[in-house]
Amino acid sequence: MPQLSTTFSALADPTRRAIVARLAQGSATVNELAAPFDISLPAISRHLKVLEGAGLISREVEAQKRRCHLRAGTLKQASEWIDATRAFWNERLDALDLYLDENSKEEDKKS
Amino acid sequence: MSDTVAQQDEIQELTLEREFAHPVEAVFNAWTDAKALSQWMGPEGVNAPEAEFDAREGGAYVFPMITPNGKMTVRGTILELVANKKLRYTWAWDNDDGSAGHRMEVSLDFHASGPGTRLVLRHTKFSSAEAREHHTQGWNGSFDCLALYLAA
Repeated sequence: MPQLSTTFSALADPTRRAIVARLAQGSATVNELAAPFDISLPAISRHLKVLEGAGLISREVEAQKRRCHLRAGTLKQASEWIDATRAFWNERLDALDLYLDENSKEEDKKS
Repeated sequence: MSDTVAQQDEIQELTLEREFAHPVEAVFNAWTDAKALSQWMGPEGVNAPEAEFDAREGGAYVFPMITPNGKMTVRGTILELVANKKLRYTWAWDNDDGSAGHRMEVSLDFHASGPGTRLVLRHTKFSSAEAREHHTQGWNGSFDCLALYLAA
């Protein structure tokens, strides 16, 4: 299973994110994926290779059709990161709030 | 289509906002003073491993923490520090073998809000330097992809 960091690196590019979004709606050929963009087919292939390397998509090797599919499990891992991180920071900020309250009470006692 | 693309953006970046009933100086100090940090950023309880924070651009920090998953240490380098306004640093959890894990970035904006402070915290899944590295790798990998494409 590719590292989560590889997944996020793959998603760092807006064209790749758009490709992932399109594949979330159903599989597509390379030509179909390239259609909305004003970039070359080799450039699209570069993007697809990055996405495949990150485990986000799978590609059929049929010479004529070359269909691509979204691998939903990898994307789900990425969205789980954000939930875990949000929970982490909310807990830290709760603790910060408590610390600030306690600290200011101590400051008041001193003055 | 544009809605789904926005969702992908959100997946790699988290933004939180909080109001604190304390002045910016107190809140900023809590984020940059090692003794303060060890009380709220660190493990729970009084007897805790010390947090370290060298509060200057280029300075290093370490936060040893007790989390639900056991003891974990995060460390990084301070990229930006403007007193009572801005703090930005890299954020990487140690791997089990002690080597540095994937580098992310945390940025904090401190806004005076009446007598209190509004804190905006952004945690991005990339450090910008790493994103650039991957772009470079992408271009370097282009020739074999082109060959594959042409061969199809």
